[in-house]
Parts: sequence; C-alpha cells; structure tokens
Amino acid sequence: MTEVIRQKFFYILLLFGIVVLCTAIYFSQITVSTPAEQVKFIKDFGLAAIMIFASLIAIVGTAQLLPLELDNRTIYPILAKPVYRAEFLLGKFAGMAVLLFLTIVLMSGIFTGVLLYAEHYFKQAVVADPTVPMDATTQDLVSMLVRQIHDVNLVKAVALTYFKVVIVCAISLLISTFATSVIFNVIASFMVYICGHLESTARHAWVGGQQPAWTKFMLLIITFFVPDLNAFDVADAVINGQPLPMEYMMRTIGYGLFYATVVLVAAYVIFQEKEI
Amino acid sequence: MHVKKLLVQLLLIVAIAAVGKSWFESSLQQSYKDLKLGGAGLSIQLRSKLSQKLAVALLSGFRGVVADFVWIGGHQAWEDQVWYKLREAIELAVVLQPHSISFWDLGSWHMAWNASYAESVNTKYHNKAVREKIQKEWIQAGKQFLLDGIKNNPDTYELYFRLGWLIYQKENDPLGAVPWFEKAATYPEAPLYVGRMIGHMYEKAGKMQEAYGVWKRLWLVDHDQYPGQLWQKIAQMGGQAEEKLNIPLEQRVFPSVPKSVRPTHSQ
Repeated sequence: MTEVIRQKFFYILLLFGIVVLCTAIYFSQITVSTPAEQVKFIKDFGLAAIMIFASLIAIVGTAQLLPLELDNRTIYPILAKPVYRAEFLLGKFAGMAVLLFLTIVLMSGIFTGVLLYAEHYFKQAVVADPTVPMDATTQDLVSMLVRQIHDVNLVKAVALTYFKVVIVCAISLLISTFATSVIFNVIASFMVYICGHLESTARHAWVGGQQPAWTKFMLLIITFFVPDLNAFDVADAVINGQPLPMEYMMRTIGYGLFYATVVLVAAYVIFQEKEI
Repeated sequence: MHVKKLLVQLLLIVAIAAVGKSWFESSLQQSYKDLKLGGAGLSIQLRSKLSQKLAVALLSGFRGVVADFVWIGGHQAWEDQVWYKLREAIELAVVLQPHSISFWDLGSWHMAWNASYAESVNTKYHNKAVREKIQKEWIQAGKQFLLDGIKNNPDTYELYFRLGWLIYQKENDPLGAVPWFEKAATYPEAPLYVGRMIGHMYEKAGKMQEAYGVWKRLWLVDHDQYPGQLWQKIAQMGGQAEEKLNIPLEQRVFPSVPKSVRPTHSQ
C-alpha cells in the first residue's frame, strides 16, 4: 500500500477523480434541462468517475507492485526472512485492496457532498424563483428530488464497484507474476477489463450461436477465463430506482470473492515457481 | 519437471474455476434477467449509431454516461429543432437505458408536444393538410414511444399516466384516456390526483353517470387514510354531478358545498 501511495500517478488519478466528481454538477447544469435529469446525470457521472478512477488505480498500482520490488531489489531481503511467497503476495493484494477501499470511500464522500450541494442548489433555486408557486406540485417535485438524492441504494452500487476493482486488482497481480514489463501488464489488465464487460455476450454466443470452430474456441476462452464484470454494474438500476435485493448483492459479492481467490491461487502457483 | 508440475497445478485451478464460475454465473444470469438489469448489448446496429468514443465507453461499462451523452445530443437537436435527430437520439437513449422512466417520459413529450407543434406551424409546408398529417404522425410517434416504454416498465404508474394525458391532450379523447389513468391509479405510489383524473375525464367526455361513480368511490373511503386528498374538491365535483343527474336528495352522499369554497392547491 505504501509503495503505491508514494507514487505520483496515485495522486494524479485521485485528483482527476475528485475534479471529475466536483464538475459533475457543472456539466449537468450546462447540458441538461430539468432538475430530475440533472440529478440523474450527476449520479451517472459520479458513479462512473468512481468506477473508472478506482479501476485505473487498481490496474496501474497493482501492475507496478512486483516489478518495483524486483527492480529495487527490495524483494530479496523480504524473501530471505521466514516469509512465505504466498504471504508476500497476499500482503501485496491486501494492501492494494485496503488502498482501493480508502480511495472509494474518499471519492464516495466527495460524491455525497456533490449530491448534497445539488439538493441545496435546487431548493434555493425553487425558493428564489418568484414564478414557481410553492404549491403541492412543486413540493412533490422537491421531495422527489430529495428522495433521488438521499437514495441509500447508491451505497450498493458503490459496494459492487469495490468488488469489481478488487477482481481487476487480482487479475493485474496475476499478470505481474509472469509479465516482463509494467506496460504489458497495464494493457493486458485493461483488455481483460473490457472483455469482462463482454463476457456475458460471449457466453450467450458460445452457448447458442452457430459460429465457426475457431470463433467458438475464442468465445470459450473468454467465457472460462474472463470474469463477468457486467454483473457488478448495477448503477443504472440503482439510478433508475429499480429494486436491488440483498440476495443479488450477496451472490455477486460471493462471485467476486470466489474469482479473486482463484486468481490469487493461480498467481501464487506461478510466483512460487518463479526464479528470483 | 517444474514446468510440468506448474501446468498440472494451473490446469487444476482452471478446472475448479470453470466449475465455480459457471455455477455462480448461471445463477447470477437468471437474477440479472429477472431484475431487468442492464440494457441492450453492443450490436452492429447500436455501434453504427454511436461515435467511436461512446462505443468504447459502452464497452468499458459506462452505459449510463453514454446514454446521458446521447440524451444531451437529443437536447441539442431539440434546441436546433432538428426533429429526426432528436428522435434518433431519444430512441438510442432508451435502447441503452430501457428502464429510465425520464427518458421515456420526456422523449414522448418531445415528440407529441414539441415536434408535433413545431411541424404544425412549419411554413416549409404550404399545405395545411400536410402540416396536420405530419403533426398527427409525431403525436402517434410519441404515443407509440410511451407504449414501448410501458412494455419495458410495466411496474410503475408514471408512463400509464403520461399516456392517458397524451391521449386526452393531443388526441382530444378523454374517454380513451380513462383506461390508462385507471391503470396508473392502481399503483400504490401513484399520487392522489391520478385517481381524480378519471372523474375529470368522464366529465370531459360527457359521461356524468360514470364521473359520479368515480367521485362517489373516492368519497366513500376513510378520509383519515388519505390526508393529502382534496376532499373539498371531490365534494364539489360530486355535488355538481348529483345536481346534473338529479339524484334524489335522500340518495345523495355529498355535502352541499358553498360556491365560495374552492380548493387553493392541487396535489
């Protein structure tokens, strides 16, 4: 965790994330008209910013962990002590998971601040506008906006985003056990991230489609190796007020933990055999 | 030897992963479908309508943001009064986010109100009949759009209410609007004015007996259960209906309300 915190990229990405979150309200005002649309835009934009910057920190941060230890030769005194390689790898992963958790909590806090500011702004706009009568219809609109802003289901969307980036982090760690360069790791992890959003499409095509053997083989590889990251994308549903049962949450979190565990075991197996 | 051992271990992990992954994903897939999460996947048709940047954003899991930017494009088309572009953007936005009620609601309003009115006064068409035909086409497009929205979101009152309102306002058919208001009123989260709207529609259609039935039904409930209801308004409407229908005094249910008493606000 400390290695990543010392890196400049971490602060740059975090700063960008915070700036994007804070500008959501500005973009919403210049681009969309009704308050309901503006709140939707802020929520879409905010949750997307949390997801993209947390994912970037997960990919870039994790990709550097092992190569940095090898380049600085700091790995040798650690492994010379009675420390198992599994412990070393797990420590790296746990540190990154904690850092991602703190990053997401920080960004969520700022996102909450932006939403509360939007609420204050809308209320002030209604009070200040002499053409808008404070009748039951206006009160209905204001209370609807307040309900949209104080939506506790947003926490569910953020929680699943966290488990999504934990998976991405585990994949990046796995790649770093055999990758020869950081840039290769970053690109490969990003490709897995994109394929992860197409996994369900690939699975459907593999199960039902009439593709040539080679295509089927490629679809099979995606289906078996790549995680279904779409399952963690519940932001749309939450923003549109669709119900999101805890059962679904738990099952998705279970899936995320299972996948991350399997990837970490694979990373350990490769790292164990690696000549250092 | 090491390589062989490594391969065996990795194959074992892959086998375990495949079994576990399939188990989790099949159950998640069913829930994902049942909960109506997500929207249309990226297809060639969808890709051809999106810019490269938006297609990449969609691939990266930013469906909501992509839909918002498409919607903003539609907003720009509205300001520029380029109606075909507006329709294209609206239809694309709901493909991306089929469960966004505001997209369906505002999209139909753009078509049935804004576009239809703009075309009805468009001097580009010299023939009035042509203008009226195009106006009707836009109203129909807005109506069809709401029907599609209802198909995608049958569990919420808003779109039923909007469709009833469209039929009443743009097709001037209050009786045709009644079934949609009735359907909207069955949802517990529907505001109380939705129920009153049914009575107003019957009155607009000249169906006083049916309207009276609605006012009576609304009146003969425990008033304490609905503190936000406009009881004075219902009493006034019901009393007027009793007068018009010549209901015998002993059968009347509404108290006589002085004419000076008028509701000051509506819910």
